[in-house]
Amino acid sequence: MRKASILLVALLTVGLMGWAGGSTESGKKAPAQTTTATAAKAEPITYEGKVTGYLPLVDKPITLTYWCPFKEDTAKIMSSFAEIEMFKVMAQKTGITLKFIHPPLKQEAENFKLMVASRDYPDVVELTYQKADLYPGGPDQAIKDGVFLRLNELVDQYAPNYKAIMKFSPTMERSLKTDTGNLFAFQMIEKVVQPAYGGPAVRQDWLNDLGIATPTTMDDWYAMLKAFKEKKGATAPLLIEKNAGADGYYAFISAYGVIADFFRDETVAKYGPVEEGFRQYLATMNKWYAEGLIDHDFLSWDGQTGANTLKKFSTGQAGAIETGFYSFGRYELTTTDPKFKLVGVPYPVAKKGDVVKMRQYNEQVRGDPTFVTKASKYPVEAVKLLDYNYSDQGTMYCNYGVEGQSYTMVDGKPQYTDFVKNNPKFPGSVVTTIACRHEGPFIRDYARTFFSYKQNALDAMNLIWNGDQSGMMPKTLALTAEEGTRLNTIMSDIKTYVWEMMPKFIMGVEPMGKYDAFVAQIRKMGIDEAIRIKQASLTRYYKR
Amino acid sequence: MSGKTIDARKLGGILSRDFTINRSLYAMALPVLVYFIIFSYVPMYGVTIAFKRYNPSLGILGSPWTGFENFKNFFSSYYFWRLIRNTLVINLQNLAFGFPAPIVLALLINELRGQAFKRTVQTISYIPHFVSTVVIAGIIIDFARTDGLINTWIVALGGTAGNLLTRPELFRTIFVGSGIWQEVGFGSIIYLAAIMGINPELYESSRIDGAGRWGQLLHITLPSIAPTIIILLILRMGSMMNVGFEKIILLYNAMTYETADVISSFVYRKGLLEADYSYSTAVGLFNSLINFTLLLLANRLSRGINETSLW
Amino acid sequence: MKRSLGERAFDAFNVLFLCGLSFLFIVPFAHILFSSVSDPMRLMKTPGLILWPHGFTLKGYLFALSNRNIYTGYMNTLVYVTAGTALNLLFTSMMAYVLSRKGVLLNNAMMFLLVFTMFFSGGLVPFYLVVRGIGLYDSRLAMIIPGLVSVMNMIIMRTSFQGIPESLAESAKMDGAGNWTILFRIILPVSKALLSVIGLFYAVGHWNAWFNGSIFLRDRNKFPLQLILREILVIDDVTAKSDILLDGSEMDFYRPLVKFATTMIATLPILFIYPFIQKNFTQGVMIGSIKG
Repeated sequence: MRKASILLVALLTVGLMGWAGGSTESGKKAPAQTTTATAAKAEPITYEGKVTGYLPLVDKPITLTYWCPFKEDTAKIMSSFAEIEMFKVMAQKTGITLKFIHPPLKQEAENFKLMVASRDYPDVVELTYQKADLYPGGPDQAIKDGVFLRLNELVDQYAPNYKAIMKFSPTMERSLKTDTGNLFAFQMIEKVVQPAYGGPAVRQDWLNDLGIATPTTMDDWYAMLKAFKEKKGATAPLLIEKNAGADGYYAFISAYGVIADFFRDETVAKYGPVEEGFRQYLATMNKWYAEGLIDHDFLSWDGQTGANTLKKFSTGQAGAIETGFYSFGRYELTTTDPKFKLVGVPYPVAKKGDVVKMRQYNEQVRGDPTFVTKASKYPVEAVKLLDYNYSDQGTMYCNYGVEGQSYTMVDGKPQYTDFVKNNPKFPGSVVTTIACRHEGPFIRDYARTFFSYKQNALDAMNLIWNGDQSGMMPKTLALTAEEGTRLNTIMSDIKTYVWEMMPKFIMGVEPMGKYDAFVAQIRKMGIDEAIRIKQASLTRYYKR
Repeated sequence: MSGKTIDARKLGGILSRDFTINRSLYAMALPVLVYFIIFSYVPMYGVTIAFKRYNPSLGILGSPWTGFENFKNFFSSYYFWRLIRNTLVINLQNLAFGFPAPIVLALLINELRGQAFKRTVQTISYIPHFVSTVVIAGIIIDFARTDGLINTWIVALGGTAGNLLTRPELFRTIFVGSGIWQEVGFGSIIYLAAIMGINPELYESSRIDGAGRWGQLLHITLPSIAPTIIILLILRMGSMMNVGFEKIILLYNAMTYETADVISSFVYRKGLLEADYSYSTAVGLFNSLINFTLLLLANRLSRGINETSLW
Repeated sequence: MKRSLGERAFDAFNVLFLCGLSFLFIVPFAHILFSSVSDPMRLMKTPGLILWPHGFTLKGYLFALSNRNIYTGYMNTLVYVTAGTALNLLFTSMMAYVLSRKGVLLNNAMMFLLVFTMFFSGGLVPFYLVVRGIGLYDSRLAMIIPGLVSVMNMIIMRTSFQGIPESLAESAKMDGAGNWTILFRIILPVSKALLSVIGLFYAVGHWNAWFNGSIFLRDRNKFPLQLILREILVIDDVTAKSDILLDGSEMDFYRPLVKFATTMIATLPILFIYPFIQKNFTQGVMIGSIKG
């Protein structure tokens, strides 16, 4: 009987080998065989109405391998981006078909590292959501190591659209290049910068009931929260998150001119926890906590729309929260109080007339770098194709998809169709990721999917939370490999220490009397060297 | 073979005789050995990353040597001793309570009379093993809240409520306890299999000799499964430096860093700031050395005391 | 057979105690199960344990099942589990058998070499390069060959084989049986309990496996079930934040329901394997139970 099982196993194994296959594609037909050699006649490509080139981009159709992360919703019904109509249409028009290589969802960083280790590079690598310095040492090192291409010359010659957008604003070009002047990737650009999408929000109905005006200073907040507690019975008037001041949107802490991280004062790099403002922040929070104005369970914060947060808000235990505009709807949906009305309020200041300089902030260069690899046999074609995304036509494709299928023009403005807004496979969700791109190398209109948000949420973002951002570090600062390692080593300990001590001060477990010792300890851990490293990086940034 | 000097020719003679006699055995072992050579020993050169600064485009072999720098970074961390202490204490507590627990459970389940009930309990007991850590952590967090279930009992018994996960002195208990709850069922399977395989005749004859259930337990059941227990215990000693970071990260917060931050969670956080292979490999190597030493000691001890050991 | 009062008391206590434990054990399962069929609106407002359905809807399962990856994932995992476990048992028992024999000079050395690999490894990158070098990239075999033998399981098997009385093997030898015959005709048949347990361990390992798939498989149609599940469940801060910016519609709160439903779908089968395994426990020898 054993012999039979062995035979069975052997057969299974042999059968497996055959079926296991090598790197075969899925059962679907490879789309690369579209014979569009003759294609359409030369179609013009335009940028802001002016012609910048012609389709198709190549004489003979070619295929480029394209590594990029996949999207969850797309994965439910497709096995790669190649099945999206928009990519098929683009392939036909440009003559360049993309063969996608998708790592499993959420395993992108790991897979990128292994791809680099195995040196098996595709033509194009798109690092959606990953920082550009996922490659150790950053883009400069990657170019030096011969992994990615320096794009300056190629863009100059073959990417008129991208060249045009680079000149869009003074900071654009600086943000797109490295300290040594390398242009290293095509990135996601937003012509209109998204305003701060998170900040403090308060129950308008309570303000009305109590006759309180919109709070603008920390003292206003103190009075308001007290009123919430005493007159409205709120047990946790203000909800803040676990690492408030370090993560999140920096409301309240920014009133004191600091955040719990690196920030800048003009062109000088600073670290919040060793600045005087940080002491004042902690002292205030400590006072508020002691008087029951802050949620005593803030260490168990389970997210802006976590069940506990929702419960506290909807049952009237809380009256104020630091949140994102996209969560407003959720609060309104779950509340049991018909009078519940939420409104965004400005980032508070310490005293009237102050200006808050740190908040949630976004830049025109949104990130998501897309590289062309040195190993590619078609660098020119790759650059041309990526450049197409930034043309007028490419912008429409990437933002909205294919006209007629995923959007139609209504009064000169694109509107998504039911395919995107009401697809039966995705109940009640706006699924752009089966029709176009959510992020990637193109000019994105971030607001295109915001039609389902209510006015109060949109106002909070557009009108109220926005403001001076000059205290924030630029998002595209670069460190050399040595700097990176050194900073990392120093900051591991410091971050642990700061994150550990902050809530302790707030909760009164560590008395404010010991604050000086706290700062001394941070200095002992080497913060000054870390600040110097950051300063060097900042200085180089401004020299670009 | 200890202490004897054997000259090369004698050794060669002994070996070749061994190969001749046990030819089929060595043939049987060969595929597995080849497997380990390919998948475990060939890649072992990667350990050298711990002594280098890894540059992916230079590859592991081409990356520059940095000596003990990565280790120095780790050892000189302000939190080094705290991390080691927490890691070891959690594992010791796990050893003291988590190792015997599945054995006890297996013994208890074995005493059950009804077969259907027995099988049901066994099946239910290992379900938590399959529930993801994220869900388990969510349940624990919920239990521990100021307005959560456990605090309701505490208040009912006259105590004061407070979020239990903010108390450093409670963290290890919660962490180890929930780990036992999650694993005790699955861990008991192997002991149950061992117990149920014991020859019933042994029980019969001891009953005839007048032994009660307790006596049977002490003199038949336990000795019969002793080899299993010992081997698993030795192997367990080889993971004293391992505490998985996932559950720690989900459960800890600023208030409990003091007792909760372990080596793996620290390294994980560091990896978030910047992916640094060299550092994490160095730490991993350090852990492995300690683990392996402990295993060798445990094995030596076991060999001295009884006949059950790895080699 | 008479049981004393003390013993009866113990039995009663035992039953009660195990009932209590069972309740504790089933709590997380109940939470997932009832969450998966509860009304999402009510679920959103109810933090904590869901120990009964709050409202009822099967929409979560409907949407979970509309994910094509579930089906491919299931088929793949079933194959990985059966083929994988069979190969595991084969090779593990071969090695365990050899190491359990007396008089084999290199046994201790081989054992040491194997245990050594449990502690020291070259890390992910060289492992990845080796597997790729062999040609297993994007091959289903990448889910089966790496991990072929677990040293831990092999040690348990060896200990068990050592407990089998030598007389059995001896008499077979005297009849002229070679080692292969002894292993397959004598040792294994008498080790049904052991094979069931180790088989269960390997099978569970295969069922839960996702990591090798995540780095070696490119074709989504080869993904195992747990990899699919992980794609849906794992909290990834970065993507999550930006996807929130995308969805503003009120009804997107079905997503948590789909997560629970998918978890149930991907976990249920393995939970109910145990009763089938358990009946093998009373047959034959487990470990050191028959004194020779």
